[in-house]
Amino acid sequence: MTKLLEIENLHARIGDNEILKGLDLSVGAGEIHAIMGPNGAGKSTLSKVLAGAEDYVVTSGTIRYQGQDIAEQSAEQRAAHGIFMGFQYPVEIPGVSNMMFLKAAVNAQRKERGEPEMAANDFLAWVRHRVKQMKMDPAMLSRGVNQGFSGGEKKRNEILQMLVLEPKLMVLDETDSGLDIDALKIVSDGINAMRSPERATILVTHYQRLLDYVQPDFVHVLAAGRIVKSGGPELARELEEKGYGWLQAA
Amino acid sequence: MSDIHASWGEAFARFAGGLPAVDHAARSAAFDEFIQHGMPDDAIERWHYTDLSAFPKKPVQLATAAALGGYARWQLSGCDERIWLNARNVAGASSATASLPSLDAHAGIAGLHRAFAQPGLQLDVGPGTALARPVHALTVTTADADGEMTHLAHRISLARGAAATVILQNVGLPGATRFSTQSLTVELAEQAQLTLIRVQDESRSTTQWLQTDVNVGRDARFQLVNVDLGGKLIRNDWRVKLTGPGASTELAGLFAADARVHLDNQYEIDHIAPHGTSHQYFRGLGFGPSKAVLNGRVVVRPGAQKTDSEQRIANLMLAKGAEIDAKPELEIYADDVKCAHGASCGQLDDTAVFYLRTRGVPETQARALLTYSFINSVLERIAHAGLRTRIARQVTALLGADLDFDAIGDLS
Amino acid sequence: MAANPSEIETLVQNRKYAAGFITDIESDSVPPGLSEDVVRLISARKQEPEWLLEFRLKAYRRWLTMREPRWAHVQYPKIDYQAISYYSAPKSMKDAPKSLDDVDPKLIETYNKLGIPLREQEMLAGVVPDRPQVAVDVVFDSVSVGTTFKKKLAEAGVIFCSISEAVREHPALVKQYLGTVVPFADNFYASLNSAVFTDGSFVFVPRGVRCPMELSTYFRINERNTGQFERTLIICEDDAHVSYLEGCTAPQRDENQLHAAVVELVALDRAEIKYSTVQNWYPGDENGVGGIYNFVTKRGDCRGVASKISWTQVETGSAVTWKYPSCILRGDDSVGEFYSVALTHHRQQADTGTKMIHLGRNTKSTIVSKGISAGHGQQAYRGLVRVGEKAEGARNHTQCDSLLIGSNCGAHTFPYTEVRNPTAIVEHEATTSKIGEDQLFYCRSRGIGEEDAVSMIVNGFCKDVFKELPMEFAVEAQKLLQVSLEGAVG
Repeated sequence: MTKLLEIENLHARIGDNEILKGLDLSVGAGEIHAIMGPNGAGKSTLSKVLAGAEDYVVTSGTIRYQGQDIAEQSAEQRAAHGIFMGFQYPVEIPGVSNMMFLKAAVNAQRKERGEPEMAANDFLAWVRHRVKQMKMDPAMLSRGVNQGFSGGEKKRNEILQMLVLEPKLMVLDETDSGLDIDALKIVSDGINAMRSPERATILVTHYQRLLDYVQPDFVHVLAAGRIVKSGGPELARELEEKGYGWLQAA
Repeated sequence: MSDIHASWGEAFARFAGGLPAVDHAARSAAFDEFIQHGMPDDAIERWHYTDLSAFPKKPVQLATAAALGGYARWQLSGCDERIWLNARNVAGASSATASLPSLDAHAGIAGLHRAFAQPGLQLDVGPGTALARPVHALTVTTADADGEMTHLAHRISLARGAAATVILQNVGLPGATRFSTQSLTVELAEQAQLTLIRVQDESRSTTQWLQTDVNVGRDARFQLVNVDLGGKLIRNDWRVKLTGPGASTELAGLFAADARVHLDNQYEIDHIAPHGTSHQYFRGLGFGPSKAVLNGRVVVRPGAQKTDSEQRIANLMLAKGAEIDAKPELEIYADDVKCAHGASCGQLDDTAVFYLRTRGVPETQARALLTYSFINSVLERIAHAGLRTRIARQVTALLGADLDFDAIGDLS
Repeated sequence: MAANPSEIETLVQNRKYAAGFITDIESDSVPPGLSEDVVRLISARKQEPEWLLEFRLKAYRRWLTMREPRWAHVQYPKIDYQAISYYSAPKSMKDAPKSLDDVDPKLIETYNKLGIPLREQEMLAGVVPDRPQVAVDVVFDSVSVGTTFKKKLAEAGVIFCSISEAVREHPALVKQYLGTVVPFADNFYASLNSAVFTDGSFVFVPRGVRCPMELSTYFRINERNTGQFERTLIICEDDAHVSYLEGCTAPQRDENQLHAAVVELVALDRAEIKYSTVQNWYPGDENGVGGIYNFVTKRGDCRGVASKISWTQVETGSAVTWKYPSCILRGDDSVGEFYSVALTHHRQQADTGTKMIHLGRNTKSTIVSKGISAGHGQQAYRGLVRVGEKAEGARNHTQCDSLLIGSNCGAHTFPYTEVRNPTAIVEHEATTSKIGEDQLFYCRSRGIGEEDAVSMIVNGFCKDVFKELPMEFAVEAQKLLQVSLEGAVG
């Protein structure tokens, strides 16, 4: 059976700096993978390359999503086909309301997929439902995207966007950093709510904390641009206790 | 005398022939001033970037009355409409004669304007009165023959404690070349408050000079939003004098320069009295071959202590061939003041474009949304939602995008 | 409770100009007046080649057709160009000194008073301790009176001499570069200088050479009714590097004296020129009597790829200053910098700033300008940042701050930014503030005297510029600022 995501021998660089150096990763539908690793290992690069950032150049290797090589797909095409990236540092867009932003995103994705636009009322109801789920103030919908939001609010907004857009593959880049414990729970609930046999999630994180709330099926250690160790949830706890040093030494 | 001078003379003779003697004398004096000094050229520091000395290239004549029914598309909901078609009042009350505006301006072109001044908006608001609806002063020009011109003089006077919102909209239908001068003199008595929204969307064959002189009295407030969307050669002079203690002003401006337009905005705030505050926010967009100039000058006179002044200019270069020249000036003769200004010129943030694209928004639309975000800090100062949306739509359409602006309003 | 504002006013008093003495020395000056004959006379006296005379005459003829610039934010009475003497040399120089040992002892003494040791052995012997070796060229009125460390520099291949000597000894180099950065018709004062320049310094650093020591020129105007029109030309070939310091003083006289210099810098591929100025011309007295009119054209041409020109100036003197050290960023990846502290006190006026002309790709410029106005001083920052159509990826950042001391001074900012390339990023920030009574009171309540407090605050304000100066100059600059502000506050 085809995996949802299959990465083979991926090499990527930014400028003259090679960051991913032969990364292999295979993610099946219904699975949650955690990618952990020390700073500078290439965790954020992996997220951005998956999302289609153009300043990163894939020099060799392949990324197959739903069986298709997505090398030639633009960021927006990948989004329309169900790849969602949660940003470590979400961008502020003053003056463009969250509502307007979500509507633009949903309708653009539907158009790309050849689906009709959502009726305005249905859309509003849908968004409000998700806002409630994230325990956010509906008034935030008329505020600018992330405008004046705290770090935690921004992360929560990322998950809200994910819930509204209903992607198939979710790549969450350090979504847990900067969250207090209540926010972490809400964010985790959001991620768990999206769990289904058709979807998969990649949690990129530095800490084990998030994994107490979102139970991963697989844990991988990314170091120096490659996956150096893979295991089950117990690997995360081992990393929490021992740090990353023992892996690099090995 | 050159043909051009002769044709100015003839035009003036035709225009002034039937005027009462007193008026005639004053206008003749103004006309002589114009002939003596001529059009401004770049030897004058204030005209460093704009040279009108070669203008006009063709003989001149006042635009004739035109029949036009189609201006409903510019009308705005909930406003008190006053309409001028080729400088003739066709709707809304207006006085039939223009008192000559006393302009604190460059002799040559001010003389020309005063010589030909035609009656525009004359708005007097009595003490303590707040106008319930915005006044929408709409000027529309058409031109069948090259060289037609209009010279509207507007005046707004707010008595003590009065408040009003005026929307001055200058639009032009495509057609032959035309030239216009426009003046607006504003007197704000103690505690009066005026919000002026000016939208310039002239035809691509229009040369226009506008001068606005504002006197802001004690604790009074003048708020401006100026939007430039059209024209061929546009020069706007804004002069705001804070003459009473505690007077305040906020000037906001937005321009979208494309289609080889030459656009020059000169803003000057003169702090004469103490405890004045002035804030300026300008956003500019360079879309294509075009030249846009923004000069923002703040003068703090001796004795204008406790002045608080801030000026922010930000421009976006969106295409090759665009030129944007910015000059934020401070001239300070008092020491106990707080003054700052900043100017920047750059591009859309690539990370933000990427962010939008990862949400499935195509690049064109993403850029338009971010451009909208960029100009929103000026747009949001326009209280009339319909007008605001219309401007936003027109600007983002230049980027080839059609954004759903209705989504902005439905929750606010 | 803040200090009484009037205390600040009362501190606006006399300053002491330590370099204001007159050297009693016999001079050979041409009578006042300017004509083609005077231009020819200057050229003849300097035994110049024909091409240079032609250059001067072309400049003079052009100058006759030019108007004095009036756009600057300064006011001064009309200058009578016929009342100025265009050439003055100490008499003892007539038979040019063979070495520094032949230099008139009075001159040596003058420079010792100014703290500039002219004798290498004194410097080597450590007469002035804690001073690193600096090669000095000294220009007294119209002529260079001597250059130190020539031999050591020659060993490294560096030419450092007066421009007159360079015309004699290295005519090909001078001819190749003179007037290529500041053309003879550039502006009113530059044309005047091109016609009548008398002396100045010449520096040539050949390919790949890092100049082994700081180079320095000291300018002094001594003679009454004399104009000083020096010309400096610095060339760094590929991968060469030089740091050059310039200092200026003049005696205290009641009449105004004109100083119209031209400085041209040429940096070829990957070359780097650092040009620092401490300008302490006589500023006039507290009533605005006397002082130097400092109308100077300084321009650097980053001609080569990845070249760099950095201007640092501390301007405390002159009655009127009109000066915009500029960089033409022609080579791809070239870098221009301008760091300036300018102080105007009493009736001093300054209109100063810079121009950064971005022509090459990925060119970068930084501008940091700190203006301090005290007394009735009027100061304007005027800066142009222009990004040409082909300057892809150009970057500029400008920070421009003014500090006001007392309520009778003025601080003005006129930045021009002209951007013609859609990939450019240009940023300008400016602030104007005053030394707060509360800041002073706070310092005083901690036991710091008012003058020290002001000096502390001013130094803090100027820190970003001082750190760009060579160490010993930075110390000098701080002291100079302190002296110049004496009585300004408190």
